[in-house]
Amino acid sequence: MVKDEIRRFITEKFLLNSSEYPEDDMSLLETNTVDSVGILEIVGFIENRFNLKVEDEELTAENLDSINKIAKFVEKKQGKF
Amino acid sequence: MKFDPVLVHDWLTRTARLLPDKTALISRGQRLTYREIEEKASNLASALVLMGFRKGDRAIICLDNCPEAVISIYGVIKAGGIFVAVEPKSPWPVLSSIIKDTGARFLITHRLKLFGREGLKEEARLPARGFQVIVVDGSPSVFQPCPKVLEFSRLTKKVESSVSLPGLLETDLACLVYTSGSTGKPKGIICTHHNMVAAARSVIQYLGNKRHDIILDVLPLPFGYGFYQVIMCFMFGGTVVLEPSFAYIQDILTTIEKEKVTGFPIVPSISAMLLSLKKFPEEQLKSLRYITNAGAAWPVSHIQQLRKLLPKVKLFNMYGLSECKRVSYLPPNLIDKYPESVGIPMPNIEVAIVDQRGKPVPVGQTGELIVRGPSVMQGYWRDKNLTRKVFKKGKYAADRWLYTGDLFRQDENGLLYFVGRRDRQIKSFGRRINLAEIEKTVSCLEGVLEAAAVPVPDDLGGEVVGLFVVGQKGSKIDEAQVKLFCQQHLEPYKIPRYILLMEALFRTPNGKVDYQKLINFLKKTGIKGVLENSVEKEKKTSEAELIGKEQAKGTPDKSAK
Repeated sequence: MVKDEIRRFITEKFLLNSSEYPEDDMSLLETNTVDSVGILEIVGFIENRFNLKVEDEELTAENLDSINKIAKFVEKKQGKF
Repeated sequence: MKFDPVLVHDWLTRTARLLPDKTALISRGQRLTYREIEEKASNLASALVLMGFRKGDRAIICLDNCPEAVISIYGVIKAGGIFVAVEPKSPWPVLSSIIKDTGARFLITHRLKLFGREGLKEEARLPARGFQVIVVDGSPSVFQPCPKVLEFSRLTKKVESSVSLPGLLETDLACLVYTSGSTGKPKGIICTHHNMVAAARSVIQYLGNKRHDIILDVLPLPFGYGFYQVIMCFMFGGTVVLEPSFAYIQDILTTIEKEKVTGFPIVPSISAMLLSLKKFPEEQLKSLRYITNAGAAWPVSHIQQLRKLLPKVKLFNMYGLSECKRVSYLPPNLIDKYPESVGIPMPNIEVAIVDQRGKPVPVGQTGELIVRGPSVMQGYWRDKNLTRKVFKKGKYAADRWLYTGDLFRQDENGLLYFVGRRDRQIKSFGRRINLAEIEKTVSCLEGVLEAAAVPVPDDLGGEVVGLFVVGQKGSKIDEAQVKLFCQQHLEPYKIPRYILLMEALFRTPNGKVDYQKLINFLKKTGIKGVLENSVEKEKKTSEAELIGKEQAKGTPDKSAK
């Protein structure tokens, strides 16, 4: 599932040294899970993994700031919505 | 006769008296007037004093950019304290060591910093006795309540009992800034109210700030460049739009357009991001009056592109260091002719460039920059030896020069040029190489967005240069091109032995290139490992070893010797 893959990527990449488990609707930026470079890494990941192109206009918190939002965004891009 | 205030927070009080209903701060969906900020900060100060906070006490503010962070800064100094702004992303061991080093008795932070789903985080071990934690709201319902922790929102409400706040001098300490990005023990830089007001005044003067200015602050508040935006704005009576980050670039552009932002302080990674957009958003940026750059050298290519795309916007190329806030700025009308210069000393600052014996060097020659003026720090917190090392005493107490550790030269017009950090020189096969020079050269290659050079241990040469290069979006730059360009523009001994293409550089929370992380990355993977991995990576996008989405490639360059 898209969401599981995104959660796994974020957990492995950004929460390695933490006992925490990311909540699907937690803000990635506000919880300091990722920083601006991290956001770009996430964008790179979803572009490669799901074979889609993220446009400049789509670099918003609404699309990218939580696991749920990213999953929804990816599914929308894939035309599942 | 009326005099200007001398304390940082008295400027806020003054502006709140003059413009009580003006919007001072826009952040996290809130719009706060000067009156509201003044009241909340005063209430917080009273609450702190009631809890036993005394003049000279330290309070750690470990918050993202949010209204509470601004109120905390002013609340702490109104209570006679010293604020210590700490990056909220700092891991607990770092935060703990800062608590210990400062002897702070108060910590203001996000609930999430302390609590996980199971309650108080195990790693969040705080000093037991006399230590008070204040948490800023953040979905409290998710977390179990904890009796030892106070709610920020309750402390900024009106207190009934009258509390007298301590009287302060402008020579009393106001802030303690830990420098970031450096290796080893962090240094705490201490500044008085006088230092801060003097620095802010000079910057306001050369930027020409007026009340109608609306400043977008996306820089972290723990960073001097970030919190000074607020200090300055509250002095001249403008409005600050405070954003937690520039990560979601489209949201930032929307904010600029909506709030009609006039001043945009940036670091080079922000201009890199703006310039990497497929379509440059000049329409959304049309309200801008100026952009300032500090924190790291502004690549000339960024300056030139921004000049073309935003011809009406004044670009201020600036230079400074935490020890004295700001040193110089290039008047914007000179930027086309001297884009590499960081300009002239700002008002109320004197500089000199000296050799190793402290004697001024002739025009055009490189030496160490030394600085004198009222915005220079008092010294390093509880570190007399280090403080003694960076200052040279003059004829009287205030007459002292700060040795910046930065190499500079000055041209015949008196313009200053940053050459590099003294400690960013390496010795390779017996010859000195300045890593900043390599970066600057490679940045001039078309298609290169930015470059970072690091020393790589070498059996024969001692150290050789490793270069990380980030291409502009859409450019098909490869390492062969970079190498060829180096061969054309650098002496043979300066040519990087290893060239690695990356999609982004590691950065410190302040947006500076994190050289230590780049070096560690090479160390961990090993030069050979990086090369092998890059071959692997072409077959399969395995992310196991590579951090980020770097496409690490590299070629050992035998001709580099």
